Amino acid sequence: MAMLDPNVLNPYVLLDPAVAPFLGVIITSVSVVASLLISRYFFRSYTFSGFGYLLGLPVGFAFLGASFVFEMAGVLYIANPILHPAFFWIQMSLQSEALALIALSYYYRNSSGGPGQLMGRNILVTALPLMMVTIPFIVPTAALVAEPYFNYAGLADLSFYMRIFNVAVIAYIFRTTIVSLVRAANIKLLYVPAAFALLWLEQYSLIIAYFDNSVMAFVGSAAARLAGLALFAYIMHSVSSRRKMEIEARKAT
Amino acid sequence: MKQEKRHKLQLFYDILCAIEEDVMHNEVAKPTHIQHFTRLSYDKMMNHFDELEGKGMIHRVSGLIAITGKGKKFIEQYDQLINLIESAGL
Repeated sequence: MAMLDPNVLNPYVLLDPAVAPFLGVIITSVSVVASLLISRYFFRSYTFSGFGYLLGLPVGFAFLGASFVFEMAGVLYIANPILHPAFFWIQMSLQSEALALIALSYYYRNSSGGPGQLMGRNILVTALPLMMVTIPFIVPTAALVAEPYFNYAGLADLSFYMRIFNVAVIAYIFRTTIVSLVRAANIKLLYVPAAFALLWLEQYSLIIAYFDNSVMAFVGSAAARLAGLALFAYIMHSVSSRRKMEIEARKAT
Repeated sequence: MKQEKRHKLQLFYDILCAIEEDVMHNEVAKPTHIQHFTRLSYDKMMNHFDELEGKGMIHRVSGLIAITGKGKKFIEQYDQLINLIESAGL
């Protein structure tokens, strides 16, 4: 039996090498298209309204799409000792930054900063978003500066910590969307928390894959990611098309 | 009850919807009716009318107000925006 490499960076290496690139292209294509579609819907809303808090969503989903491209590039350059870890490093930073930016949109929408608030809370309101955005950039950069060559074991461990960060950030978004759902008392709003729950499950499965190099955990994470992004894209599309139908119906009457 | 401060986009939307509503019921839109619908002071409403007319969303003829195609498009887009924001759980 072949020994398991304890420092797997890109989990695609767990798959059969004959299947991995083909499967990778399909998963990446669907993920990138869904991410860019979601980004486009939010970008149109941002350009129309100019609401600053919305900007995190189009940028975040565009970053998420880009991170999947770098993940695929890592699969294609699997034998290259420089490019493979380099692409992994970029993918990891982009993905965490993307989730932090998405969380920031939810944070700023729901934070109600005012002059009557306590100083401690004001500091928290300012520091928390700053931390959320800087951690995904500072931590991987610091690791790279500390060891300028790409240390596989170091990167693998770093990816574990970054995934913990991702899980925490997605949990925050999930909680926020659930609160909105309860406040609005509209069951149709359940789809968005469900989509974020699936993205949370993706990160959680990747943590499992980090510990035991389980192919099932990786396949599960890919399925959860595809389902989450597809569900989110479907919600965005249905909201737009439903409005168009309502407007057409109103014009007809 | 104190009313929450409205964003400018929402004010425009409320005014344009009020014009549409008034035209639907009375065939013409009058400033006093719109003021009643939107709960704005007369001066502020007239300022918003000037701005909306400048943007080509309404036109005024002898005290009566009509909504333009651009104004109708704005209503559609704003509806879509609010739906998207609500659906995203924001």
